[in-house]
Amino acid sequence: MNVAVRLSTMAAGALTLLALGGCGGGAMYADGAARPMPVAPPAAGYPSPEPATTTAEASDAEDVALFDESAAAPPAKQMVAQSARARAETGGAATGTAPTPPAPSPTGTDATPPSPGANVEAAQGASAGAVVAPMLVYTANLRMGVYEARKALDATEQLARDAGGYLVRRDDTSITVRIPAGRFQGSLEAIMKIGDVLQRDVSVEDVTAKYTDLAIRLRNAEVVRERLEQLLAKANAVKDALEVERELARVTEVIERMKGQLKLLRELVAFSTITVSFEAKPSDHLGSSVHLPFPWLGDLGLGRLLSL
Amino acid sequence: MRRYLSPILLAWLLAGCGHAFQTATPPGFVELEDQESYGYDWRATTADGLVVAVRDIANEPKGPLEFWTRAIENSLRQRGGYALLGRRDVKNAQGLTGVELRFGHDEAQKPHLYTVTIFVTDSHIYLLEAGGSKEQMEANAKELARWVQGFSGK
Repeated sequence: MNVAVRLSTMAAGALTLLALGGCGGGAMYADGAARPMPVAPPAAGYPSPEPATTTAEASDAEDVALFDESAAAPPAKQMVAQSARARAETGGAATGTAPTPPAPSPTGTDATPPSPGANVEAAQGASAGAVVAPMLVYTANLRMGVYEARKALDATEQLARDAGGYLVRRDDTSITVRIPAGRFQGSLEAIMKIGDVLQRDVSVEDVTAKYTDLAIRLRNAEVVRERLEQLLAKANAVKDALEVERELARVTEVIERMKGQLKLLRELVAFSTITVSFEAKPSDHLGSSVHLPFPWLGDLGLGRLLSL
Repeated sequence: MRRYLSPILLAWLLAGCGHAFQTATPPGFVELEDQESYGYDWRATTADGLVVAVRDIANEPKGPLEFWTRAIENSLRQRGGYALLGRRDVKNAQGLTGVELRFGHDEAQKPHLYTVTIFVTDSHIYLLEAGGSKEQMEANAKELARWVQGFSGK
């Protein structure tokens, strides 16, 4: 087997590892540092995550063993055959850019973005089979009566800042802020006092599995990248080097994208999102509103009264 | 003379007796004519655009004051996006108890106030509406309260 064939076969094998990594039992973490479990449970009335019982070091050791074992090169034919599938499963030659995790607004000067690796221990615990704290994303949407909207928007933004949160988006009729998860409930109640709440939706999403899966795939992708870098160092021919570099670029892009997704998930867990809108509901989207058969009810309001 | 008086008398009777209520035009307002086509039984305005109006609706199907108050509150909040700022019981000169709903709503990004006072009898629902910019409504609050108290149904 000449060098070129051997290089491409190894690259394909590495890609296969990357693709199959999601099925493995090991977990990879953005950083291996042990930290106290930072999952901040929102206050009473919402499910509270349980404390983690695992540490980063223990889980890392297990992961290393797993990866060492699975990193053993499969037969060349098998690696070549799986190359195409691996490419597809890892995003192929995707050209999309990595999602940019939302950065705290400059106006939210008090905001402290979640530290990298926060809640990662939850994912580690999953691989160790221990009880782990769930990674919960809290979201609230409020629709308020359209009165003194600007003042209410200002007050909402200020409340978010005071709580250590930050502004995400704001226009004339709505505002989205992020609040540290531990202060979600209190902030929500304070915001609800700003105006007449016409509708309130609060939801919670458990992203533990999603995060764990992403972390594992990231670790596997990084293993693949290391192997590709080793191959690149050994490549003698320009053609071989170019081929490996192409794969290296693709894997790097996948890694960056996954890192971005992990960062976003960490931030969504650490900071709950509250959106407040001051918009009249379009009459043809009444949803669950009661429709009484009295047409004159629809004639009430300033629009008609002030039309002289 | 009698020929001239009869049509005038008839017109006056039609205008005065056509409404099942009596209301006085508040100071600073002028009464507008032919408001039925706009959906009002009576309407008056100030030069600055503060408007008061009365609707006389048949109480059919017959419902109590609380029912109609709640229906109006829901309609304005849920459909119109109005913010309910307050609710209070009121009494007119006849001793009839009604409810005043006080709403806030931004019009062209300016805060406006809108009140609906509901009086209900066996056969009528009277809606007394007042609306305008927040400043005008607050400046004319006393006149508006007197207007509501002076209202009487038949």
